[in-house]
Amino acid sequence: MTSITMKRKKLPPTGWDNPGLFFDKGFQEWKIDSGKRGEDIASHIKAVCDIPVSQIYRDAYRRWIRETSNKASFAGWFGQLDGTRLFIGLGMAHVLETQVCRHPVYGIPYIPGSALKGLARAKAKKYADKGEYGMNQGVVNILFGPDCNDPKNPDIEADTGYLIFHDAWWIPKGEEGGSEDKPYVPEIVTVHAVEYYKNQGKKDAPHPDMESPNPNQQLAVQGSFYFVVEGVPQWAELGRKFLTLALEADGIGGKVAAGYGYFVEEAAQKKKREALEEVERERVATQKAEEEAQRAAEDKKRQEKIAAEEKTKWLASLTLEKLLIHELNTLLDQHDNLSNKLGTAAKEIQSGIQGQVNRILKHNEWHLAGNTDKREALESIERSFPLLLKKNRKKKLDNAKRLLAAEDDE
Amino acid sequence: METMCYYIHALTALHAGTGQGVGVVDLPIAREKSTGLPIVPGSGIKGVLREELNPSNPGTDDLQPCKDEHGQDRSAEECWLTLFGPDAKNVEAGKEGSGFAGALNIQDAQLLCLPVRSVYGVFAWVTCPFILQRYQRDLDQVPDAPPLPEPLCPPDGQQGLVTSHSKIDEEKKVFLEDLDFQVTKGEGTIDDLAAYIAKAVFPVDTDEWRNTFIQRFLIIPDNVFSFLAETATEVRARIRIEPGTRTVADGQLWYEENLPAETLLWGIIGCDRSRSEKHAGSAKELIGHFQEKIGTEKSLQIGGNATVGRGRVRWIPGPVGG
Repeated sequence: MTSITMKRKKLPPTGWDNPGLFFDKGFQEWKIDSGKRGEDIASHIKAVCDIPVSQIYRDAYRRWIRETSNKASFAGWFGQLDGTRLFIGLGMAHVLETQVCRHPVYGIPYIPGSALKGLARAKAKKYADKGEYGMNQGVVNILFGPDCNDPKNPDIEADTGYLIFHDAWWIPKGEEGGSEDKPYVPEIVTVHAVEYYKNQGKKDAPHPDMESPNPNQQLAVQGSFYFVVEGVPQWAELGRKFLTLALEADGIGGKVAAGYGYFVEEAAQKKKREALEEVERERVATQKAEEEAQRAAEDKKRQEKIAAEEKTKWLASLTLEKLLIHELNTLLDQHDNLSNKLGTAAKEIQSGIQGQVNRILKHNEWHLAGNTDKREALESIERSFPLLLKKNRKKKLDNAKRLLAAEDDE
Repeated sequence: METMCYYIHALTALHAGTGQGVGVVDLPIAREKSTGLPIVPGSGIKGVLREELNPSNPGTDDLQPCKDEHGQDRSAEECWLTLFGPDAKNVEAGKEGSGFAGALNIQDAQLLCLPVRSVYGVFAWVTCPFILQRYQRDLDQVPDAPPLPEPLCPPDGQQGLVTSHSKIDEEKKVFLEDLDFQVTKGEGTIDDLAAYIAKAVFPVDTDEWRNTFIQRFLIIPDNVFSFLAETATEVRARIRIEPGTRTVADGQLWYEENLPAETLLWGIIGCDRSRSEKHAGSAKELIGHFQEKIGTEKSLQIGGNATVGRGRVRWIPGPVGG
């Protein structure tokens, strides 16, 4: 059996293409007694940060953009670290006592989809609790899957969430939304008064001012990331919204309380997205307006039909005098419209009609009027508006006259 | 029996798991019992392909009805059931007549090249003679596939073979993770082997991925590869955060193993004659339908943890034979 030799004699000091590998394996010598441990780590971290993004990562990134560019199932977002840096995976074990979540092959940082899903879920849950954005727990469960560890719902059945939260890819400079060509940046996190906090509450706790601060070399991430949520368009868009609201307001990764890990939408991409959204909004608005106009036209037609039917019914139910009054008014209205166009000549005709109408209107409380007045009104109508008195109106009029005559005879 | 070859190129971490593990990794990936090499079980791939080609899915409107040997139209649904077999539940419920086995048999996808981080060239696509020999044996079942150039065997010890255009070596040395290799450049059939795989996995060469592959192809001895296949997979820690305290929930840290992005696998699909009562169909006819429907290259999701982005792959059908 052959053995595998893992003890290395010498590693190349420079020319490393993979910053992740260099960070893990490239630390050349640990001078334990030199007292310069911090400096050694610092210079190693600096060297990691000097490695620019590789062409193969760029190619893989472009392929990923292509893979997720179909608007029918992906909602993307280009986020830029908002004047801050990102600590992601800081808590993972590493010999250099700092760690960052980086791709196991390309060595470039990424933000795990699981972290993004958790972040978006927490945001959605918050809105659901408040009943905002039309959210409720049911929708959260569908989009993200139910929480099987929830003590309040011990019987809930496990189910896959609907949305897919992909790892966020770091964007190299030169690609859309990219701002840096080196993803890593050295950072110092200084711990103050370690012993004081360790021994807090104990009698012999040292005074915090007696201790020297303990600066720690850390590896942070700069630049921008491409986030993408997969699902049918509206749902993916909803997931993206929760994710980005959380990225902007709550931050992601370590030390968010100290201002790390907050994103804003990359300006050019924001413009582009908003322009696209505007077009979409307009399209939807136009479509809606058209649909509404059509609906309104149909409504109007229907109402007109109903009104016409009701009018017919109503007219049939009227007594003769009321019918006449109504029709005279209609005539008058029409005449008004006409006279506006025809001028004074028409106005004279109008006043003539008006006089007749007034006479009748005087008697619109028909039952109160005297028989003479009634007869006079009927005769005046018969004289003035022969054209109106056809068929059943004429019958009604004759009938009315007959009744009056009969009353007179009594 | 007709056979064709297929390839899987992982674009994100791929978790084809076993459900549980007894080691440090809580959720390990599936491996072949005898060799310990990672596999993606054929059942998982069959399920995904079955769903991808399901005529009742939205977005599959372009699936045309098939024609049988006599030129008779056969519905897309019927053709699909003949290829993949009916759903046992529907058969029990009497919806799909009597049960029968689907004509396709989709074999496990086997590891072809594992991406391993390299000091030079970012990473290497690593394989070994044992894998190449098996790959060759499988390709022999596919008579239409062009023959694979003779697999090479690097000398024992930590020695490797790279192509003439390699970008991962410097002064005849390759440095991977914790391992150093003394390499020989452009020896024997190495360039042809690399070109063969590159062409198969990147049938449409975009962004010069074929060259990218050839520049990073590395053959190392079986025993060293076995070590890498055991240790150079991607292990991701997952946690569950307690919403109230924003700290890790008690006992909610677990480790998942994945095949890393850029992993290449190959597999074989066999196709038999139809076993459906409703219509007969020869193996040749059926595999023709399958190929027609699957097209050139599919973007699929395979394996577990889909909702956090795992398992997005390029699924590439290879040449058919019979």
